[in-house]
Amino acid sequence: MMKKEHRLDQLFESMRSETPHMNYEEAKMNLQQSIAAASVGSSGVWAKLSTPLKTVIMLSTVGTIGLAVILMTPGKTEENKNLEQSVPKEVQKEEILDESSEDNAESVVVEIIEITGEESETTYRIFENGEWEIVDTTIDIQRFPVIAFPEIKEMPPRIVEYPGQKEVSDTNTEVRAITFVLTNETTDEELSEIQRQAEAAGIRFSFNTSKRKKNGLMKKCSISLHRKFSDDRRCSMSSSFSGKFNYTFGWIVDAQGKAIDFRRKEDGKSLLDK
Amino acid sequence: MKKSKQANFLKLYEPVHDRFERFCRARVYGEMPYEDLLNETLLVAFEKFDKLENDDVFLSFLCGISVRLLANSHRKNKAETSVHIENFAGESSDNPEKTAEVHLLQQAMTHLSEDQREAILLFEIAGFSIKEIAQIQETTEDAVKQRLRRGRARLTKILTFESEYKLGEERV
Repeated sequence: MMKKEHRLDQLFESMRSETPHMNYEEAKMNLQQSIAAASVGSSGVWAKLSTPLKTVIMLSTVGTIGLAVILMTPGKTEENKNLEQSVPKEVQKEEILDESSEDNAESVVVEIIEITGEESETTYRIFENGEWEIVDTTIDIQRFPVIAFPEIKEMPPRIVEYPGQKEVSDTNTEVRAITFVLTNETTDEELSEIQRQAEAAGIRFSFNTSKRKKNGLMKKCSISLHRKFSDDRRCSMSSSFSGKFNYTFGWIVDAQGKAIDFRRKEDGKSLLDK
Repeated sequence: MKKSKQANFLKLYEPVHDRFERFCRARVYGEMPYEDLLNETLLVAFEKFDKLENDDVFLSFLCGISVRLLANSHRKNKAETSVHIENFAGESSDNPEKTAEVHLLQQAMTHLSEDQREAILLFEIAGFSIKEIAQIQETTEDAVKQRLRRGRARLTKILTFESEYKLGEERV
């Protein structure tokens, strides 16, 4: 019995001294990405104003309904005219605000990219017309003057995969791009399929879509890709999204189907273009 | 303000990361990817970080949150019976023998009850005292002692066989 107990203690000792599968840096990066995703909806001007705005909108809606009831009451035409003239300006203003519901608010994409230890974080605000601007970035613009973002309008609405597509390349080295388009309509099953393909390419792909609307559309989503190469080089890419988003990303695989790099699509370029 | 909160949080987390990672990995072995539990716990812990009164109990704070997250998740998914088994054959390891031993132990631990497994991991891997485990598991110290005793006895019995075939029999 003592021998068996000793064996158990030995096994626990092995477990205690085992090298962690996820190192501190990865955990830190995942946390930062999750915090960024969580704060997207609760920070920014819209979010700060949303509570008082909602109150005002509610009051104005009640006021408007009340007004409509009075206006529709027969035999009070003169009175109605007076009321119509005296519709407070703030009510009219708030009706306009009411049109821009939370769903139509601008979407925000936060992107964290780390390549061999160098990390950057950029927050984009995307407008209804597809234009975008950088809200905040930790990238030294002097060093990296071009920050490209994928074209929003022309992206297909759902996930599209081109596993067999060969874009290349070099005559000696056969590489191809595996491309995915992520939108707020992407389902967990589709994300799991991406995860499966990532695994086949030697990538650890994780995603979090804990917030979904009743119709299945994602409110928020975050993804991260990690790959550790045999020469200890590491490559990570994390992105988080909210609102309506459309994001093309993927990886470049070698002839053996193993990922050699991660990419996000830049305007008018193939995933293979540097 | 937020940056400084994050920096403080990470400062406390860095020294306990290894123990916490091992705890999460062993705790949900065979159930779900441990990364999900670890990431979710860290996010919840970060949100509740202001409530942490004593920095010395940070690891206990993290484990308490992960235990509650799992309990909530089990309540919601009672009907779900799918089992996720990690594929460790492809994992690169400097010491394959040790890796195999760890997996053997983790596999054996899936045969324990949730409370027993949790108590053993908190005691053996995270290094908590019985009193601390009682607080995390929201139970009495006597109950923790019993879980540890029974859990270890069961593990010893299971590991005596040490083969997939016998483990299969145990499960039945």
